Amino acid sequence: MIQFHNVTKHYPGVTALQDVSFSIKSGSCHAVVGENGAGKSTLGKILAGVQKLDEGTIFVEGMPVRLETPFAALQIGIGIVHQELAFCDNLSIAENLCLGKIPSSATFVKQNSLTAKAEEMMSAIDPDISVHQRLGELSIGRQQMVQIAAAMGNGARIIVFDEPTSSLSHVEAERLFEQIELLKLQGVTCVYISHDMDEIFRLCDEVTVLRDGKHTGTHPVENMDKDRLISMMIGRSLDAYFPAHIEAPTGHEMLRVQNLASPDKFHNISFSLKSGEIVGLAGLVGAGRTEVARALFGLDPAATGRIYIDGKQVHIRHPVHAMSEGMGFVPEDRKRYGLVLSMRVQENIALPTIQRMSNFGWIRTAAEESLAVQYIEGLRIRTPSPAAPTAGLSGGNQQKLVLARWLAANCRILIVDEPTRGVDVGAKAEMHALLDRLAAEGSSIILISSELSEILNLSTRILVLRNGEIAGELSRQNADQDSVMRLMTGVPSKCE
Amino acid sequence: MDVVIFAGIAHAGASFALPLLLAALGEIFAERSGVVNIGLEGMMLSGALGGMIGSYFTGSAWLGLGIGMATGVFLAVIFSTAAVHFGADQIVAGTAVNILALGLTGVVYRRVFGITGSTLSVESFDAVEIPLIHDLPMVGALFSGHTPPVYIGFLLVPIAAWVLFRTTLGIKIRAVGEHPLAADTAGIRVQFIRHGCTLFSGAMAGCAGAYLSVAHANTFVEGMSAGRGFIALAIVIFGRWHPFWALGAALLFGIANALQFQFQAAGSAVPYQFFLMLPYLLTLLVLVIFASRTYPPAALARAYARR
Repeated sequence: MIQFHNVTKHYPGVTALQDVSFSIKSGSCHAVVGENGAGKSTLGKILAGVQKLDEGTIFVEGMPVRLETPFAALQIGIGIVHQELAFCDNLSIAENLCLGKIPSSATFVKQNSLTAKAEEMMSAIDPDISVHQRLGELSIGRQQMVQIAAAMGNGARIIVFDEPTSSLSHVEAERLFEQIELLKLQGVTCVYISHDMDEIFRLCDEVTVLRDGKHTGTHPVENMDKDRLISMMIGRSLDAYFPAHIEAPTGHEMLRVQNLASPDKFHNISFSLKSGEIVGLAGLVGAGRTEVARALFGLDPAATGRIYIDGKQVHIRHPVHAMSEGMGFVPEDRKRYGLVLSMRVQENIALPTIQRMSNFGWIRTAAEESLAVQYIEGLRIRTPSPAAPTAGLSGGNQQKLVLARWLAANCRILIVDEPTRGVDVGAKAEMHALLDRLAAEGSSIILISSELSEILNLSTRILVLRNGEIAGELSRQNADQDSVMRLMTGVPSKCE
Repeated sequence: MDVVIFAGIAHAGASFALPLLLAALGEIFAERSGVVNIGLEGMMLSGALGGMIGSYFTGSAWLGLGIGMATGVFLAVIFSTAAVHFGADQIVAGTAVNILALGLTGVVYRRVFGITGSTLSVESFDAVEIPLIHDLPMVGALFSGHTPPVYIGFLLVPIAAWVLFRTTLGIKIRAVGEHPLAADTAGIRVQFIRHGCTLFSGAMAGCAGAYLSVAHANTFVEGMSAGRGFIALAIVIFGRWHPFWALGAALLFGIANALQFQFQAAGSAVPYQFFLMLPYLLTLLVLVIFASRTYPPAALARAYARR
């Protein structure tokens, strides 16, 4: 049993957790849910010793514990799977996995037992990964697999999963769920921090809801339903959050792609995109969705094929060409590729159009600001002011900011890659409504998402990629979870 | 030019390369643990004075070298306290150490020896010939007939590589420099490793400085490190944080330096400044040709504090 007793944590200017008290049963899978900023991650980090609590006590099996460091937590048997706590990119997977207990004799590393130990840890999760690789060479999804292997391999009795599936493909997520079921059978307590309803209802026995740093309730999952859980999380009813899909008529052909190919990544990709359409690109991680998007945007020098915009053939060899053709790209990792976090909100919005905003190299701040205000209002970006630093915005609002930037640059074709990854329920619904509205207003959108419900809800048509090829195309009417999954994985449908 | 001149250049080159190599080896450890020790130059300079004083008063070149190392460590303690313990900006702290060393060595030197115009000379090392290798052409000149510290310095290269890539300590150092939080999570004492590596780089820089004053010049001159600390920093980057590559870079610098003297002496028509550029051009070229996948430590120059 883990008991939280009046746990309080302050960050400069914010109270992340306020007098949180609840308990987690041993051997259960306990979900901790809440919107972004509700304090659920902070709670997990405190339990794993990554952050120190300011007030209150945590009891494990009735004993008060001091979780000063992650190592101390691990000694007590608490491990964590967390994206930011990942590993050293430049070390091999084996070295990363065994970092705490490196097999050695007289300080010399025993390479063979290091490899064997690492392979044993990996075999439960992803036996295909070679442990000699540099960790940085793996995709984000696979890096997380390594981390899960490490937590499991460390013999922890309590494992905190902090949004573990946010970067995993369907197959990988399935494997994780199986692992968690296995762990439960072995009596391991899982603390599952997430805002994904399906995962919670599938995996967890109990759920604790946090809102604005306060505990709003702990209930058995079987007594809950999604609507009630969401209204507990957001403190409001659900309807306002999931607006109905807008059916808009589609216009002329905006983009046509013929035989797009890139060695070892994808080949024979042909499709078209009309104005007002949202085309969803579905596929497993590694199917080539992001790679296709990058090639369209001129980020893949090896790509070949023909691209027509408005019926005219264009040669896109560089993002600058793509931008001048009215294309915009909202990348998956917005912090790394999308935004300059240290700049002000208005500067980020005006970045691609900075030429228009300046006279002889001097930026017209007033023009920049009025442009920013226009999009902050239009997209309902929540920021204290256009001059506020971007880093202070929540994930969902940062994502909108990237969109705003492209809209400000008069983009007609938008490629959005995982637009709602890591944003909370409310922000996700707003992003969906926004994409819907943009399409209805005549933009063409290519939507890449690992979340099937997102693809199904938003897309006019769905292209399914498998192993770098288009495995099939489904219209909105014909697409459902089952048919898309079958195309993604290559499993034939039941009636065939 | 004949073989004799080439042999002379090779021999002098190895000797020029040694202090750079020593300082660079220390710096590789510091940087691999995530600490940029810009104070290398100052630690070298104070090591030079420490070595000279040590050798002068004890009459032993070896003790001089040891005292030079201790002087480097002393400055490294100051730097490490500021940069690692208190998390001060490493560049600023290191620069402060350099300026401090420049002033302090001058003051101490004058206090101990007075403002003597005449240069004092101190106990030095004798050259040692390696029996078989000495008779080989070229190779003999490069590898034999040096003072003992040179041999030790070159032997340190494989040892350093071995420690860094084959021991648990090495993995810990690299982990700390890559992702201190992950290392902390695995129970590695981040600050302890960083302090240790910083002090080691101080010791190596001090040793390099002492070599300059005791073995090379046989005396101390104010500001005698003459930017070698900074060249060592460059060698670490050219050498991609790897001891063997750093050895190559140091030798390139050393030999180009020797070449430059040779050309000046020979009265070549080509301006000697061109040869001063040589080592840098060469290392750049080598880097471009052999550029393979090596990455700087991800947490380089970033202070770590647990929240």
